[in-house]
Amino acid sequence: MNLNDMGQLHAFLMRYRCIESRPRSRKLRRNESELAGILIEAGAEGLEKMNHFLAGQGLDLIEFTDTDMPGITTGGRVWVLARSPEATPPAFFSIDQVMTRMKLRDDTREIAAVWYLHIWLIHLALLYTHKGRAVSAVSGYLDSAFEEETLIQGVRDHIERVRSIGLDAGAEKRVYEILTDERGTDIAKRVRAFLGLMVDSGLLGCADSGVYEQTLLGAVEISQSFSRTLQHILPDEDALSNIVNLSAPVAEKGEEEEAWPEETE
Amino acid sequence: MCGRHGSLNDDDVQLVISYLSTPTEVYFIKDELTKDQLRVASTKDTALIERRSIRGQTDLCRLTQRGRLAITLAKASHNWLYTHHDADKLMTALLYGEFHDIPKQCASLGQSIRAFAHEITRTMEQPGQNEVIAHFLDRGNQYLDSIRKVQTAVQNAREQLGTADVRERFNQWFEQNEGVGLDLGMIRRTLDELMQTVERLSRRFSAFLHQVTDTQREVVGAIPFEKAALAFVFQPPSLAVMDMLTGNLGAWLLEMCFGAPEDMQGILRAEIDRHQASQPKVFGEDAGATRERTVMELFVHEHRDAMFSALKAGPVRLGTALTMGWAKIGDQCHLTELVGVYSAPSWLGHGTDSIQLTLKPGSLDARVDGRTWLAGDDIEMQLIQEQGGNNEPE
Repeated sequence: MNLNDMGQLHAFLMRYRCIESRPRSRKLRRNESELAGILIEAGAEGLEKMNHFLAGQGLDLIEFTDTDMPGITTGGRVWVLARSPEATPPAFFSIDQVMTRMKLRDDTREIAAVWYLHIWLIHLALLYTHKGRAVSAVSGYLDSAFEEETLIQGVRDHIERVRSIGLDAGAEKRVYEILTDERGTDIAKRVRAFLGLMVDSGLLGCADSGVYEQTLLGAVEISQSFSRTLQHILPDEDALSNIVNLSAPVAEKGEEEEAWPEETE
Repeated sequence: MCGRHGSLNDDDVQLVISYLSTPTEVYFIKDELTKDQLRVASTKDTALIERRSIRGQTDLCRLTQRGRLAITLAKASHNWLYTHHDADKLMTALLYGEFHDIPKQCASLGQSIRAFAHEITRTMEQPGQNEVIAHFLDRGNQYLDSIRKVQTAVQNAREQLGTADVRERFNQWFEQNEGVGLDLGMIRRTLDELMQTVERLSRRFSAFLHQVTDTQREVVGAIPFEKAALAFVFQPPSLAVMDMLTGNLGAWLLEMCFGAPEDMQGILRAEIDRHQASQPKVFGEDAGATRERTVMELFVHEHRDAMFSALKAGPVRLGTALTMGWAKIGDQCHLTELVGVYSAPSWLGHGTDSIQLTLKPGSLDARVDGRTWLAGDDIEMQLIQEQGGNNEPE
């Protein structure tokens, strides 16, 4: 693998985040087959070299074969470009762009960030909680399809729960106001903006019109980085039980038996 | 069923039976080898059991063909300990000269290997010690032994293929079976691929044994994300923490666009004549000669009035401009010029300060003609009404 090969791989991965030698459910992208060929030919040594280069940018290139992971075409290989759980994401990744695309009308950055966080968590509930899927279950990406309408409804239900609890129960005023101040088709618009961002980041794939599924990259990143990021921010179990007891619709679903928050042996 | 699961009542059994006997439609992508393209196909042949309704005895049921296949596949991984017997069949096929059986046998072995490896993957992803892990730990050495036997069997077959004896047998077979489309090279490649698959399985199983016996095994179970979202209404993270979460786990976009050369291929026409470009131009040489209009001037002349009348009605994006036919004069494509006007609106001959351009990230997705698409950031052009002034083109 020479510097030219590495440059080509880098440019492609920055754009698509993933290379498949024999794509399962889409057509080959321009140059994809040649780049897969370069990686196969370069072998373990070449992959290590590429990873040295990417490590400096806080990124990992992870290889999967048809033997490692279900859902890879027989004889095929997949490489995903994941953010390294140990490193800070590189400065050329922009959160501002993400937030700009989440804004409606004259939203502030804070409003966009709060909506992004809440839609993201409800989307994780669809991918993991509702399916009883462990956060570490990368192979579950194969059975992760959901409809846009389901996510919109999930977010609506969440906002209704927030409303039903009300400010008196101790909800934080600013966040409460942001989430309950939605009009008309705002939720649907925000969810569509969110889905567009996730597709452009290679974390979700659009399987059919209005049907989305998690990509292998999406599953790998959650599995690798959850315990180093989100896990530390989640309120502890007692605080959570108190809050949830206030909210009838969640309690009715009988989710109390779920493991919380981690099982480590 | 009721013998093994005594606590089940008739209604439960009925429910399970009707669930398993109800067909559903499964959609899948099919590879059209002849046309080299993918197409979506579907089947409703998915019921695992069927009811027999002879003389109204509807409580009798049996496995469908699909059901039997499903059980065979499900058993494949549990039967791994016996898989080396299947691998030995490769050698038998070579010795008996049954060459047409080899690709089939390799495919079936490959399928078993992958099914077993995927089961290992799924087991590794689950938290806690479960029955499957206990089973693999108990019989770890037997599994490793079986993997080694499969490896040896495939290797032996691969070596046997290289002997003069087998080559001769193959040539005889080939003469009798012309048009089968199978040659020695293909068999060799199939066996090599199978060999690599077994090696990967061997590494995977060793990694699995290492991981499940490691005290530091870190596997995260199910997390109630909806509750977490609700909790964040009470204890919201700071903006900095929300940014950290998005930066590490959320959507990630590049701060700026890096255009790759191939993004531009076929969109812009090469305008430079190589010969002319290499000839130095002498100043004043063509003084006094009749000057012809440049392509850009022709373009502006053709579309300026239409563009201004549209701009007066409201902002016009590049994507919209394409649909209004401004990228063409007659049958000629003038996309280059249209993009040029959107980059430098002064071409329109109106005060540039009265035209405002805004970048609309990611919203451009328009067809230029049959095979050319424009996608990426859209540009919006807007006429800013000057106070008291008129916006008629000069």
